[in-house]
Amino acid sequence: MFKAIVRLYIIHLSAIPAIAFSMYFPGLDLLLALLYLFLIWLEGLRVNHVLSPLEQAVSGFLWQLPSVLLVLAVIWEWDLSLNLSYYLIFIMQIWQTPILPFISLVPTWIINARPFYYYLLLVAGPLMILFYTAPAYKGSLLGRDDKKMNPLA
Amino acid sequence: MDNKLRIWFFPGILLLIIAMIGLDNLNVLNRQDSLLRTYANSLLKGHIGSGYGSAKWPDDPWEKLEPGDIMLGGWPNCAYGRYSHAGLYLGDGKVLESYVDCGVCIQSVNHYSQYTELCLLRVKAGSDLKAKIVRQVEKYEGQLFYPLAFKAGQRYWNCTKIIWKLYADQGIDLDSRQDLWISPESFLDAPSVSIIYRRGTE
Repeated sequence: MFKAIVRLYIIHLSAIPAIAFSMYFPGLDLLLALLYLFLIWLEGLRVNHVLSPLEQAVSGFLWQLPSVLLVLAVIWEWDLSLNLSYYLIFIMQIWQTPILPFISLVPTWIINARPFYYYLLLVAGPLMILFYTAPAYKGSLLGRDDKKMNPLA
Repeated sequence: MDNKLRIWFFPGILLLIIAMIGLDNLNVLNRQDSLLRTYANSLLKGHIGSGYGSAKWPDDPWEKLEPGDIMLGGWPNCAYGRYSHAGLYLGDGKVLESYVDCGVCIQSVNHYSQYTELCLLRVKAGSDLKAKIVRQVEKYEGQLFYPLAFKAGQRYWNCTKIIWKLYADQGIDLDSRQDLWISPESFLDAPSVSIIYRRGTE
C-alpha cells in the first residue's frame, strides 16, 4: 500500500507544475489533464490486483488527504471569519492543478456569491478518490474471484 | 504504459515544457527585472506570495477615480514587486478584480483602504473607449482565477491579465515588460498610463 501511495504522490506532484506550465500553450493543458486521469486510472487498475478494495480506498484517501484537510480548513476558517482562508483555498487550487483544465471548461455560474468552479475545487479531492478506487468498486460488484479469472485458461 | 514509465511521465514532460518556454523567452530570462528573478530573490528573503498587512489611512482618494482607471494595491512583503493586486475601476464604487475564491468578480472599492501601498493609474484613452471596456466586463464574471495565468488563452485569469486583456482588445497594450506573466508593476511602467495618486513607502 505504501508503494501505491508513493506512486500516486509522484504522479500528482509532478503533474502540478507540468500542467501549470503547459497552460502557456493553450490546449496542451487539456491534453495533459486527460493523460493525468489516464495514469491515475491505470494506477487504480494496477493496485486493484494487489490490494483489497479497502486498502485501495485508504490509499486514495491518503493521496488526497492534503485536499481533504484543506477543504476542512477552508470551511473552518471561513466560519471563524479569519483571514487565512484566502491562502488555504489558493493552496487547494494549486493542489488541484492537474484537473484544473477540466474545471476551466465549466459554466461561469455564480452561486451564493461564489463561482461554480469554487465548489468544484471543494469536492474535487473526494471525486478523485472515487475515480482512483472505481476499479475496486467494479471488482467488488463482479466479485474478486471472477475478476482474477484468466480468460485464456 | 509501463509501470516505471508511468511515474516518470510528468517529470519528463515538465522538463520538456520548461525548455520550450525558456527557448521562447530567452530575452525575458536574461533580464534582471524579470518576474522570475524578482520572485527568486524574494524567496531568498523568505517572502512568498502576495504578502500581508493592514493599513489605516485618514481618508481615501476614491473621488479621483474615473471608470477605466487602474487600482494597484500592495503589502510590504509581497514577493513579486511593490504591488500585489490590481483592479479596474468601473464607477459607482465598484472595481473589477480576480481572486481565487470569487473568480473574475466585481467588488467594492473600499477594501483598497487596507493596502499599505496604493497607486491609482489613468490610461491615456478616450472616455468612449473606456466606457466600452467597462461594458465588456460582464462577460468575464465568474471565470476561473489562476495565479499563474499566462497571457495566452482565455480560460485562466488573474487580476492583471483580465485588465490587460480588456485594454488589449481595444488596441492598448499595458504590458510594458513583456514578461511571462503580467505583474501589477508592468502597468505602472506602461507608456500609455499616468499616475494620478500614490501613497505608501517612497
